[in-house]
Amino acid sequence: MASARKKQDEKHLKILRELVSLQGNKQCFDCHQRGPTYVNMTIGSFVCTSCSGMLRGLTPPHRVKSISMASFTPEEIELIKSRGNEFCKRVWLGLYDPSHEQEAKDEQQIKDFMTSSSTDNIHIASSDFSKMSSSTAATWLRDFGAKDPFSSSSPSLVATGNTPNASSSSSLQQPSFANFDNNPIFTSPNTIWIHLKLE
Amino acid sequence: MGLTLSSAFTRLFGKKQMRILMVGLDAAGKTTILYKLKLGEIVTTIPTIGFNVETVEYKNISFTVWDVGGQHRIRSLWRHYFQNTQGLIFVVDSSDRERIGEAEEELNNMLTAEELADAVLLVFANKQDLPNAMNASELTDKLGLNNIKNRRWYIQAACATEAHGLYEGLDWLSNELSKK
Repeated sequence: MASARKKQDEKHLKILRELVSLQGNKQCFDCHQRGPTYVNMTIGSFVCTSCSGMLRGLTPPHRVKSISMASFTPEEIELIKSRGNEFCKRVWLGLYDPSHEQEAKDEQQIKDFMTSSSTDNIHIASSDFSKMSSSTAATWLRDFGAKDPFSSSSPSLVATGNTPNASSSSSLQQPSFANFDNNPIFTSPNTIWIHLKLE
Repeated sequence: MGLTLSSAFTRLFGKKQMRILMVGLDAAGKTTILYKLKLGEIVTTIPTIGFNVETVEYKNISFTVWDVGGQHRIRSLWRHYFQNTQGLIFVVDSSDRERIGEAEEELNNMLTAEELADAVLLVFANKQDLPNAMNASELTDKLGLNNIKNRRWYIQAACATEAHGLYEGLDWLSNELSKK
């Protein structure tokens, strides 16, 4: 029993080590430090130790797990496999303009950014979207089985090609979006959630 | 005669010592509690690998608090800190409903240890400020505290970031120490 568990842990560790050596995962998702040591289980990204500390201190906290000192369930490993930093970048930082990137040293600033990118989702809605033709976008969405997290009805994903613009925030109804645990969308490994702010 | 006098003197005026072991699941808030007590400040912590130890002076008692990392694969190291522990602080994240069963298991596993037979148990129901946090009575139930036999225990609702409940917990520990 215990040895089966140990075997599984070893197998998972091997998978994680492989995943963390993939191109997009070689750097911390939040600060780009080389060699992530933790997994942010809330969104499925690879992060460094100090960012893991900050992430678990956010309100609501993100769940972080050490690659080498935590145990993972097969479901968790599947989730991590299906996510990763590239995926998270597309989902959470789609609207983020990296040219604005400043050398954020102030801790509060970093925390605010972490919250804004993954909780308030202000950078969501892939900017790539606006560049895509609507059919490409539709294909892309179909392939990912995209859903709008904010409406329980069928996905309102008519990509009209409008540039997503932060000015229309009226559509932002996010009751307890930050509560990742209660949101069924987060429990399904195959869904990607895109929020298009249509004008 | 001289010896009795000096020991009476120490009893009356000297500082008492209490060795405390603080454990709990990862991200429960152990290190935050330790440094809130020690420095009165909220420090941004990183997950603890190994341990932190600090002495905290309170009510003429010198608490030596060992804060040991709580990640799954390093929990087996807790037992190496058991010896001579007079007070056990078990910290739970009251908002983490998903892992409360895991916390219960770790706690009850630990309490079977021979070396902890004489240790009193203080449970900090931490993170009371978070939405949907379980209160002390719900946690008492979920941790099975009422089934504990032959041990003094107490559960204290707490919010380390606001310092709520921390000193109330130490008060209880110091009372227990004076009873011994």
